[in-house]
Amino acid sequence: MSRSLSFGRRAKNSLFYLFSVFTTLFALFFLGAIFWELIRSGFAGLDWSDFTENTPPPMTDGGFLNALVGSLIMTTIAMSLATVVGVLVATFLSEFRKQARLGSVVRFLNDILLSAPSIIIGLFIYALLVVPFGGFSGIAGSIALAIVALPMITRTCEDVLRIVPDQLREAGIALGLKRSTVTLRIIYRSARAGMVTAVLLALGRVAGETAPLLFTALNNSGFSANLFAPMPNLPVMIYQFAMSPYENWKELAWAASLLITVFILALNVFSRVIFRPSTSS
Amino acid sequence: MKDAPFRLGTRASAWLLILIFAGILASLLVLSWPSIRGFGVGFLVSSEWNPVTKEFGAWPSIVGTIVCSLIAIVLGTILSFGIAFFITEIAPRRIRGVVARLIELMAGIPSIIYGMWGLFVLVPFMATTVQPWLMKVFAPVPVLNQIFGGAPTGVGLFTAGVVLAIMVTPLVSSVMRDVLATVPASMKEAAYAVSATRWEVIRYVLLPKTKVGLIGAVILGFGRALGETMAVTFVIGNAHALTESLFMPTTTIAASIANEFNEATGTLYRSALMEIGLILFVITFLILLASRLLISLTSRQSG
Amino acid sequence: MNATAPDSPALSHVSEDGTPTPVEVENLQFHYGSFHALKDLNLRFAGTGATALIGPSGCGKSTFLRIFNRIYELYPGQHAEGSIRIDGENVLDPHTDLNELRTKVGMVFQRPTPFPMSIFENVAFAVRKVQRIGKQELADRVEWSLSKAGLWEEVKDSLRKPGSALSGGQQQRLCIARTIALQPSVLLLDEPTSALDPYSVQKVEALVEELKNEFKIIIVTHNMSQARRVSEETVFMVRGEVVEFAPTRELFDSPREDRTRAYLQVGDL
Ligand SMILES: Nc1ncnc2c1ncn2[C@@H]1O[C@H](COP(=O)(O)OP(=O)(O)O)[C@@H](O)[C@H]1O
Ligand SMILES: [Mg+2]
Repeated sequence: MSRSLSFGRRAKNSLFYLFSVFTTLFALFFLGAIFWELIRSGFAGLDWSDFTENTPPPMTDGGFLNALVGSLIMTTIAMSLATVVGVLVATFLSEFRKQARLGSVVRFLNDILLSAPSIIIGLFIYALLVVPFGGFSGIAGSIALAIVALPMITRTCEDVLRIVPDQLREAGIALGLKRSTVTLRIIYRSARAGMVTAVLLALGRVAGETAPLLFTALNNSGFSANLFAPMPNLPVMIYQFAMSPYENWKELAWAASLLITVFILALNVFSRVIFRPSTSS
Repeated sequence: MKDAPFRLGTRASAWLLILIFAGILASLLVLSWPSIRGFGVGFLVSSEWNPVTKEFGAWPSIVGTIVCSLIAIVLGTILSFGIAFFITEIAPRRIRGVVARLIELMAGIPSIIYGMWGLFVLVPFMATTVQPWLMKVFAPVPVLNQIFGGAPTGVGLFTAGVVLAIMVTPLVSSVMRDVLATVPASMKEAAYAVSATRWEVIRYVLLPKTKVGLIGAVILGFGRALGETMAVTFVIGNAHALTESLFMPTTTIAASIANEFNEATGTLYRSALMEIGLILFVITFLILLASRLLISLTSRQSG
Repeated sequence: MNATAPDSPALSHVSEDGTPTPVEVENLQFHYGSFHALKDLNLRFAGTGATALIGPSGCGKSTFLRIFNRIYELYPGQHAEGSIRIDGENVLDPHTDLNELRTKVGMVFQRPTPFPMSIFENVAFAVRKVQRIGKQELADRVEWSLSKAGLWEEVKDSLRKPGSALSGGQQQRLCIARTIALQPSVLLLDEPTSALDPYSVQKVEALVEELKNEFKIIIVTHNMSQARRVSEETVFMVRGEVVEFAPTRELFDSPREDRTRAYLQVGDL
């Protein structure tokens, strides 16, 4: 048995190392390039008036207060709806296992929704709420976003609920507690950190979603908090302004992009922080 | 809380999810009905897209969608493959977590930001540097000089494919890592114990064990690429045209819908856009089925 | 320190003339799907004291216990036939109120399962949900059960700490306290000491010795000497069937069945 590796074996090994390091660096380079551009162009466009003024006409000063508020409203509604329904569906899937047949159908459809292009969700809500009620609206946008978030929350929540050992459920049931009490007070509490993370992850995804808003909330150049009228929002604003030929609009688009990205990053960091204590204990 | 309403609530939510799914299918079908009835099966293979004469066909956007996603997944697979092995097998323990987290971060950046970055940074770079270079390299090669030919506009399938490749890499590499993690450590250790190199362990132990799952990961990424909208819309050029060159403007299903739906006038135009949406939904559904089948096959083999 | 028992748990399975009604198991069958796990058990346990269940692992001891409070019904495909009478009432009667049954028949599992809440809440939680009692009475009840479980002295200053902060042995005693706080008439213990260190095993055993004066106890154990120490009667099972059921001393000293003798000599492994 020879003790030293043959040259060929060593060369192949080194070659693979190189490939693997190179591809990783290449991907990270793109990440860096995107961040660099975001920071460079984003900070250039960012100032106080962005938060105090509405979206301007071409070539004039202004901000994106209306779009920011619209996004906050729609995201809040969307996340509230998706969280309630998603947690309930996840509970159905993980806690009521006697209904396995319905459960596996629901789980399967949820997976399809999870991978469905979000623009399709936009078309669906267009057909469901925009056509029949005669116009684009904030509520249509909110529901479209909710449907984007729903399968994510359902999936992740089911996973974290399933991590809770069955013994804990049995222990609760064995004390004569009702199923709802065991779930709401014991199981949810055990899985709390994971469930919050699930919601935060979905929020991060929804925060930048554009496609489902294009034919539902549309956009609005003025300030509007009316849920039954077209509602301004950051993603569609970014899309329209970035595609425009006007420099001031492009600047606002970059500034808003930076804002959204920072928000998503913060969510990422935050969800890691809250998830840590429960995983270590 | 009483038990009965609680059970009812969870059950009703489960049904609501089924209803949403059914609603998506139904609404796509209903709104695309005029187009389905008007153009029949011919819609799938027709290259016409003329709002003035009201002649519509899905072929260019279907081809654009698939070719664009293929480019993305070929490039993305190469990247993901290297990254997955870098994180699971090669990187020193300390930087593993950092790299994994940075790659995860890429998955969090919204599609629209990839699109903007593509339009303002990648498109000019492609037009002035990459595409002229590729054209020069492939100029003497018969078929390839067509594919990498035309005018270096910067927009088109190639650029869209590159942007998509970056976008699907976090997903594909993370599923690949999960698949690789199903191989028991004892199996790798056994190979190292007979003095195999890392590459040999990967080549002769990990790859054969996880082949099917890795392919599943790639197909999953392909499915994701098919439906990506905003990033592609920015850089594809938006022309319902079949091109033999990767550098010419064309379109994908998602980009066409995003671009034209709000401006589309007339029932038939909207309906045609709805129908290509339906086609996209069906394609992504089939792709998801395939990837799940493959991924579940490996977890069953090794589990 | 004197833990004031609000009202000593009435042995509800004691009939009016003072003689406890026995626990009667008749024609009991159990299936996991198509797997026949318990085959026609017929037993009559004394109404007081401790009954031990022994037998090789997989013989159906846990399965048997899990019928007493019908917890198996949480899972699809599992079903029982026959009857188990406690206080003369058939547990398997479809009209039985399950929540009520489970407060009457307490269960402690092999692994401690503290709830994600404080020590105090672990004990108080179910009491508050199941019985309507005042704040002071609840506090008394918590103290009483923790004392009974031999844990009061150790935790009385840290009642606000999470239950999961206790050691494994303490957690198990917390689970026992939580169960007896509901004042059940039957206490089911499924290998309550097999996950514990020797010191905690001793503590829990002493506890069983004491509790069996107040509750009917049915205890599954792997440990022969434990069965011998704590129980008055013992059931020896193999593959879902009862091989021998006799007073503990008799079963261990002069088993009637060869299979029992063999098992007692060789043990589980
Ligand atoms: N959930 C289940 N599904 C199918 N079979 C089971 C299940 N739980 C236990 N069994 C089977 O029933 C038999 C009795 O199990 P159990 O009562 O847990 O044994 P013991 O507690 O005596 O070790 C075993 O053969 C076991 O494999
Ligand atoms: Mg057992």
